[in-house]
Amino acid sequence: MNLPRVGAAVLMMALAIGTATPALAGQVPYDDPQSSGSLTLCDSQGHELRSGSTSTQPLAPLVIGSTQAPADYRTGATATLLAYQPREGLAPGQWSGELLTGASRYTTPSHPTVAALPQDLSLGTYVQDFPTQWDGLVQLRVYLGARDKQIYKQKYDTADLKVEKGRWTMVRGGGGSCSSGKAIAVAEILGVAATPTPAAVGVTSPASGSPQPSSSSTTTPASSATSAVNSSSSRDVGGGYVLPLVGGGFVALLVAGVSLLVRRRPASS
Amino acid sequence: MIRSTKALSAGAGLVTALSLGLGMPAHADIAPAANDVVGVGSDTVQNLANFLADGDTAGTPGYNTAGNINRLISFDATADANDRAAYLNGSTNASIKALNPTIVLRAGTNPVQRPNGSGAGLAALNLDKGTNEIINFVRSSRLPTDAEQTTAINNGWGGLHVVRISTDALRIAAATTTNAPAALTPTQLVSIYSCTATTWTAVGGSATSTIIPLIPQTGSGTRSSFLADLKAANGNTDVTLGSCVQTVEENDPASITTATSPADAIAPFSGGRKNLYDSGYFKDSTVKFGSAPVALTSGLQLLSGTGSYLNTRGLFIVFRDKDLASTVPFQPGGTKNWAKTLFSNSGGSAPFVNTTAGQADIAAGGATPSYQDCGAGVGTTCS
Repeated sequence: MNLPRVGAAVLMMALAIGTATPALAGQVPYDDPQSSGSLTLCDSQGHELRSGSTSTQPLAPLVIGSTQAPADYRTGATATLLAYQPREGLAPGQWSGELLTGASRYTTPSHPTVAALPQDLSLGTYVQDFPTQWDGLVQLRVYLGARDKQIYKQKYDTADLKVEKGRWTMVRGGGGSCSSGKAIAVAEILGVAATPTPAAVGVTSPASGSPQPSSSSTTTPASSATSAVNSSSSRDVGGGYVLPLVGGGFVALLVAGVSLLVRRRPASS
Repeated sequence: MIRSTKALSAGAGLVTALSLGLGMPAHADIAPAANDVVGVGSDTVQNLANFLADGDTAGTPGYNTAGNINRLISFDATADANDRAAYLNGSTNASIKALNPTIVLRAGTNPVQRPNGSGAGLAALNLDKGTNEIINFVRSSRLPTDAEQTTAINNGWGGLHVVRISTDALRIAAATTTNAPAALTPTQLVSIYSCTATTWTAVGGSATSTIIPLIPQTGSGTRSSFLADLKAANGNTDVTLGSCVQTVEENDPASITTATSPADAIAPFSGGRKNLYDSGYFKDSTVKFGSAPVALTSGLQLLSGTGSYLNTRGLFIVFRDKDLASTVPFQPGGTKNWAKTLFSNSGGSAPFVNTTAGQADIAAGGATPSYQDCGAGVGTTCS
């Protein structure tokens, strides 16, 4: 057996797998020409989130864009997080989407930021409303708003998440600093950041014939993302569950390949 | 009717409004597509629905911000984005001649009379019995009556489903400078609106001038609510409106500020609408596009002295109960129908009106978000 060739082949195979597998995890089969930069998801402790549970609500307390806001959207401006459903054969502009948060007023126009509230949608809720249709992928976008201006959607920062078995993994995006963006939810500014009561079907009663003075629901102020909000299940910084398994196998093959090559060298005398 | 922060004489204002209202060329408003969700009805709720659909002017998004192919579209009760009504030549405050503006509810259909008010909207909905819904929902500032619910049941819809989206303080509005006392009780209002008390001295005021009581148009939920409250204050006997009462477009500050004697005019008025007015949302219509806009203010106060009339009423969205069971997704690739996406999704994720974004839209419209899914059928009420 030609050990050097086997070693080289093993090494080549290890390198191929080692580089191919992360590439598969990072490969997104579409490009969005309107994407201007990336979104970084952050927990309330200022750590980047690159994976998590789809049931975590909200998806991330803080979402920070990498692209500076256009001139008209730098003062008193807002940012809103939306999720979109990539569908093969359709342009990104034709994908269906849903607001994951309300608007946030950001103070860092170099990094427009969304501050989510505890009652904002989880990724799991979005995926129930819009099941993934293309490789388990969901695209996140942040749209900007400003007083007396149209919502700015010509360019937007994005992140692409892969959803699988109740977990999401970022496959494109992120990498920004979680201290670069600051915002507060508009709902908090307006004083309406209450935890919604579950929808309930009312019990019919004999009509009174006149409108009933209705009582306002008790509002419970919700903590904003700038305060300590625990996102305990979604801290997985640095990679998803796939990489350790693949990384370990890659290392093993690499070592095997190198050892075969080393054995072939003639002993120096 | 032209409105600015300066007071205008009623005569000049009315002539200008009439000249604008007559001979206007037909213009093409949006005509919803087949799968859009279309609403009509209440004047009081229209700005809330507009913001829910398209967001407000401060960068708060609405449902349509996502850019989905099928949209939420709400036709105002009034034919003017400043919430003003339009009238025919010859109209006076004492004798209103409505223009009856029209709208195209769906692309490919003819113009029809624009439903103006909760009652008009609910009536239109109950008459919309074709295979394809033209009107999907109604904005309403009152609950549907038993008769309206029965009609919907007889239509095969399972009744009218009611969702409360907010509360709103209905009070008596007067001009900033007014002869009205600080408080007008429901009992005093019974006397005023039956024209048995015609001067301010009869109701605790000091002026001897003649009161001008104004009431919203027929078909208005505000009118219905107000009359029901007067009835309750009158020993549960209907109040017959006297000849001194003038009919005006509801929630229009100009009805008071351009009355023959603004200091003597009063009207039931939405607190939320006044909030929106005083936020500067509405602009002087004499200023052309491209010039610096001039914000309007209401020029009103809401009487809130001890014992003052107050109805903290709900503001509602009403739709066919059967729509909750539809298996047609609202959006391509989606799983929820439009009713569950937008208004009611018991046991599921929050409908848009009850999300953070939706509640911010409602608050931006001047109202207090207060979501409750009240159900459907005869006797439906909200707590």
